[in-house]
Amino acid sequence: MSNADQPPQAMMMLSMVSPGETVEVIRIGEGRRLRKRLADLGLTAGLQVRVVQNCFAGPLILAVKQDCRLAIGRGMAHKIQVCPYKTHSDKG
Amino acid sequence: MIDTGQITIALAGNPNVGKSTIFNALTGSHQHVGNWPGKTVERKDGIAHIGDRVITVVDLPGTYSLNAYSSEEVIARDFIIHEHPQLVVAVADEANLERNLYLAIQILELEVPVILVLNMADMAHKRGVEIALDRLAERLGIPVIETVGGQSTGIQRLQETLLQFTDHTRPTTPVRIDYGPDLNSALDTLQTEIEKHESLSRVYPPRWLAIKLLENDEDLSARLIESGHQSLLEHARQISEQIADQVGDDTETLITDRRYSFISQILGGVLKRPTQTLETRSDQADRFVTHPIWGVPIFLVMVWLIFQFTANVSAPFLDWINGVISGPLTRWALALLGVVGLQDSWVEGLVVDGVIAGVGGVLVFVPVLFFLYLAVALLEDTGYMARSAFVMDRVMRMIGLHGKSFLPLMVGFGCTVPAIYATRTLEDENDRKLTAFLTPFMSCGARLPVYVVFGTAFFGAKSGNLIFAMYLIGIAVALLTGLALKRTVYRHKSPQPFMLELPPYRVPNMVNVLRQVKGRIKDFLRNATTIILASTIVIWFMLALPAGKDKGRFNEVQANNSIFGSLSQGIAPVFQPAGFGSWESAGSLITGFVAKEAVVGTMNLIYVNETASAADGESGTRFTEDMREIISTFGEASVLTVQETANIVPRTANLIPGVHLPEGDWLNQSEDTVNTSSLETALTVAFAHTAGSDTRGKLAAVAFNIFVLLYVPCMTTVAAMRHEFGARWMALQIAYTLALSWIAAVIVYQGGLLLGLA
Repeated sequence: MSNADQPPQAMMMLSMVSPGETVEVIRIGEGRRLRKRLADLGLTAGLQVRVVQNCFAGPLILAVKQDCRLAIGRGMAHKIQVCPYKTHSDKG
Repeated sequence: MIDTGQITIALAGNPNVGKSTIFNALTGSHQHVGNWPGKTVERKDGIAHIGDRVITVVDLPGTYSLNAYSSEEVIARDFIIHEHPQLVVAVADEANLERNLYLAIQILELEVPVILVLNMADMAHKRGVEIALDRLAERLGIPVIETVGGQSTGIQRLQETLLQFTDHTRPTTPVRIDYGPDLNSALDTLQTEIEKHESLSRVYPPRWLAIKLLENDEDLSARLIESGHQSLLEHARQISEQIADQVGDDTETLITDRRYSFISQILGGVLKRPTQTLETRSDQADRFVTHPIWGVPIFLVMVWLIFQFTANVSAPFLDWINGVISGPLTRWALALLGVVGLQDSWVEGLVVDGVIAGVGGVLVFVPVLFFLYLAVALLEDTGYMARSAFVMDRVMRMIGLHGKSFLPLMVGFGCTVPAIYATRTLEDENDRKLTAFLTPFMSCGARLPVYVVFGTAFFGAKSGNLIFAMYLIGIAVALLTGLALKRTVYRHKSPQPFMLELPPYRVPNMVNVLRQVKGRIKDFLRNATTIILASTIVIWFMLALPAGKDKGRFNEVQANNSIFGSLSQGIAPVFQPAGFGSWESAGSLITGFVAKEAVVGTMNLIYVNETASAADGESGTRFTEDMREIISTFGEASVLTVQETANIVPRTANLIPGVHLPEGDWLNQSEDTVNTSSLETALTVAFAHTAGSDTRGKLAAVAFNIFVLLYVPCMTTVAAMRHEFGARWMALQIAYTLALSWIAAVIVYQGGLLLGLA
């Protein structure tokens, strides 16, 4: 994926991020319960996450804090707003 | 649970942090596996001997938090609050310290002494994670110990620290989390108010309760309303709204955020990890294992392997146990009874046909369960279990379940009992109940002989069609039941949001795995023996007691004149609409309630009246001969187990059309063929007689098989259901399966008649 020079406010849904890209979590959904359960697993706003796997359907795999791998359902990924994290994260 | 003077400590931590390796390292083999009272969450207790101390170690369920969103979280925090362990060991994965500390500081807030254990330190170091232990301990105000549970690294230090704590020398005071000025002052206000309610502050740490109130904790709110503290809740809600207005975020989210920022403050200068994001070997493996296309066949292969192990590899030892019990053990019992002078008395019948047969019926499940638990423990320990849920998620969502439910259902083809226990891998209580509810419809191995006998008797060479149809109908019923429950009972159940940690793949720790297997089997035996034993004794008495004074004498009565016989005759008309309303078939269905294996056995007894007695009345001690037999058959069973393991390969390859690999038959044992031909003839005659014609008899036979497929699986399953989900759920299951099986059988028979099939 080529990294377009987007302004930092260009938000998108986590479910749209391609595998290998690193993004910053801006906002998580509406439900407090959902937010809290994700926080329990270590996923909070302000965090950088790398999308490890994201296929046309089914759940996504995220890398949080380098060593933790989280699988989250697609429905939930729709509710997580992210923006591209300005870095050279992609490896060839 | 806690005696005064006895020391109890608890182990807490996230799932997948190697908590059980620490538990094993502390307690060795002094372990007890059971359930938490009223819950289906597994409880493990152990005894640790450290120095001259005897310490009870309670392994709390693995949780990410203490929010009470799952029964595990409620259990963990209730244990800490109400059972007052002297100490909590918070086990953390060193490589994921931030998230693990999130739980650890919540435990600290419960104002209980805590030791922080950073486990799996070797893996963390390999990944370039470095932690300044002393500084971390100083900042948290609690001891911090690095361990590698599987290699006992750091365990001695942990034991020493445990001793210091139990000697009541609290070395330091733990840190208090700074929630920021706005929240802190709100917490102070609430705390003061809580402290005024003596009934609350006696039970709950006031500061903690204040935090939970701002967190809008549902479980605690409900409890406070129950104890008449609405005003306090109302006050908390006002404060909470005030803050939310000021800050623009709800207090729940604020508290979470502040906790995490507090953690990053603590870890500043303590935790060093490489900034470069690495693709781990686990990631590489996951490219295939969780691949949207390849993931499914890989998963099916895993399930197939488990199915093979529980159904086929366990069979030789199942036969061996069966042989030992019905052969030597029975003979010994007979000889012993002869010595005491009870030969040929009713006690002999009770001991041999009641007690020994009953206990035997439980013991034969042990090999099946051993292989199941072994497979499940291995899958969990390697980290594959989480992936299987990931892969099957999409499919299972259709019936309102998620991926992990698939595994118990597959195991159900081998035996329903381990399948029900396999639901333990599901976290959500409703998911577990629903999955367990569906497992009996997966045709288990014990139902197969019934299909085989009826298939051969009524369909000859085409018997395979009947067998296959039964399996398919079972699956269809399970799916439909799942859909129906999703639309009705679980209509309001929001779909469980799918979120799951995928732990890195690991080489399993065999000591750990085997200990877990042993504990679970012991737990099973303890629970199943009682109910099975009781039920077989009851049935035995029912068969031995004549239905009336003129019908015969105790223990010398014809089967149809016993209470059992008259009961069968009483029930038989119920099956009239399904075409098999004879007392013989009703009777065999009753014994099938004890165990499905008994259906064919009873039919043999009633229809053919050809009792194959194991003990041929041979007197005198054949002890050495028996021992030799036990040992040699054990050897055979071992060889056959290896053979069956090897046979998985050809059996798997043979699934591919066109491939036909021969299966090993090392001991040159052709299938032991039970001579059922006389039974088959008797069956065709009897069914035709009851139904009215040959073709009607055939239709009735199919209906009978449908009934066998769908009705209450067996006593052991019922016991397992009760053990896992309680008496109500068990009763519901019995009622549903009985109603469903009867309706289905009647529909098949009457429908067949209407369609002019007979």
